[in-house]
Amino acid sequence: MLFNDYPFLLVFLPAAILIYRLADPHPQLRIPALVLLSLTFYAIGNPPFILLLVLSILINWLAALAFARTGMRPIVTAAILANLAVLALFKYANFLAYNLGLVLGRPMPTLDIALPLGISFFTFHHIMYLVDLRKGKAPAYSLGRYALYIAFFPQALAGPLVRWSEVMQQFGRQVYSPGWQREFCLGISFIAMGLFEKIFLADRLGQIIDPIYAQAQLGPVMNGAAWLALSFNVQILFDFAGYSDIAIGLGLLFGVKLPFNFNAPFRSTSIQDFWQRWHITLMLFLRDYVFHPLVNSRILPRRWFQLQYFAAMVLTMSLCGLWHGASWNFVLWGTLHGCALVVCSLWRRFGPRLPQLIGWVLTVMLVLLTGVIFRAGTPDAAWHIFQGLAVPPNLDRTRQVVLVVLIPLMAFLLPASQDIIALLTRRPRPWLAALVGIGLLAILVELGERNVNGFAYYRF
Amino acid sequence: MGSPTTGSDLSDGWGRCLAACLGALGIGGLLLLAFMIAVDPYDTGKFGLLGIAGVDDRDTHTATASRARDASFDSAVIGNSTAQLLDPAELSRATGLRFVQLYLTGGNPRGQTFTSVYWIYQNSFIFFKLGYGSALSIILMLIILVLASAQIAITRRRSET
Repeated sequence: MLFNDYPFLLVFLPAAILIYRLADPHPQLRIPALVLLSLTFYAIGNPPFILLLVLSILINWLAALAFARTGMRPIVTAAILANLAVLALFKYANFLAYNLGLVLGRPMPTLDIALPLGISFFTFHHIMYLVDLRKGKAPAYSLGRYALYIAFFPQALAGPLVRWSEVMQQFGRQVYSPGWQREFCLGISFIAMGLFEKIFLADRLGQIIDPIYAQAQLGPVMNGAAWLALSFNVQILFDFAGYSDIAIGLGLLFGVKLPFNFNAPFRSTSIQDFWQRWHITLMLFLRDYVFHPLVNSRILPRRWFQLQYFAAMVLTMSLCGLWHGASWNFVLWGTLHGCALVVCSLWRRFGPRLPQLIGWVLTVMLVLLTGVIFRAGTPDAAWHIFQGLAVPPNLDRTRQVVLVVLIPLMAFLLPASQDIIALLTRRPRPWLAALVGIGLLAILVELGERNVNGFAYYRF
Repeated sequence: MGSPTTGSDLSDGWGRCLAACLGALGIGGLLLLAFMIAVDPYDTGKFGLLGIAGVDDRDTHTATASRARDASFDSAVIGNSTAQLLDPAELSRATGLRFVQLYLTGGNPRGQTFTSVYWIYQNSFIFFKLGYGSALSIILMLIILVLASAQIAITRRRSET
């Protein structure tokens, strides 16, 4: 089920709000109601995989329970490995088999498996909890609360990746307590903002650049359109930031404050700054559960610590690339960003101080150029786009050019959506709320006009 | 925030905001619907539930089948959307026959041949105009014969060179 679709916006969401309104006065019903709604949400989108989700919740919860009773750490370790194995099977089995086939010189059989929606996200949720449980930082929770942590429908499919400590206590709170109207206003603002980013910005850009990338699969793009393709990273920013804003807004309607995922990343003045503002929750996960363990383990002697530190940085970013999909393109993209991070931190230590404007230009150029590798699918297709940059941009298609200039300008100049919303909702303004209502109506009309486009991050 | 308003005032204010937002959404939606019903420029029939009849959205394949079943026509113009078809009304006026237009959007030779066959079938075995049906069949056979021979001749020549 998509957030930007009539069945969700006009049927599921109103029904869910109504059901939760009825459950709200009874504390013991709140969590079961939300779990049931979340599982329904997941099941409507992909019925066969609901079994996988339920099993995954049950097994991990049982493992946590067994650990809490016995204190045997191998149980948790085995559960973490099992989670990774399931992720590897669904996401990377064919990729591994294909590359093994290349190494051995004979093709390997491919498995006919589909990627269950949200598997990367719920696997990471399990891992965050289990790792902290093993360290003794996390307590054991009831099955309902744990199930909600994994399957809570606003964030189950594509994040934000939430730490258990951020949300566990928020589940089951009374939503309709004094002041709930303000939370609802905020929630609706976030949903409207997210839908606007997705439908009016990301999808518009997507319509322009998708044909260019399709053309790049066939040969060099020499008609001056390759320049437009550079705006892909802006498209994915508004696609995923839009999704995250909708998720945050939905969370507020059910009494849960989810963490922000983006903080105006295209206003960063260095690549380090960029990665602290882009997909923040994933980067925090990678920092705490991949990078820090890699840095702190004694792999190399201490005098080589710097080397280990930078290698861990590159490796973390390569894994970040691989997480986005089983393809060498993503690995290349991640590795390039890892190297850029290393160069950036070396420069900070030894290089002269750069003016902010130059830092910003370099950062944006790096992000947009590597974005081509991310989007193109194959190294050849990416090269075809880069070859096309030798030709001056074709300015004849005015409408496209205006959009491709205007939408990135919004990404470069405007503050993060949460800051805009905070500014607009500093005090109640009914006329502004009425405008948001009319905006939502316009969004619904626009949705009815066109085919609904899926969110990019459902694929990862 | 340093504002002199009390908590309950603020709560009232946010309540009014919520009402304004949802009200604008709901009333706007109703107004839009009313406008669509009043104007309905394409007579889409999407408001059948309200007792407003009209022609529903349908693809040309089903529409064509339905027109071919109409016994009030005795001649047909068959084609697809790539070329302007002859105006059936004009043809009817010129010939005194009653023409119907049977077109398929994006129809290919197979689909158009099938449309002709369906027309022949309807006339022969449903309306029992057997003489008209057999005449049409022979014409169709001749057309297919000529086109098929031409195609065989062309492909043979091409494979020889």
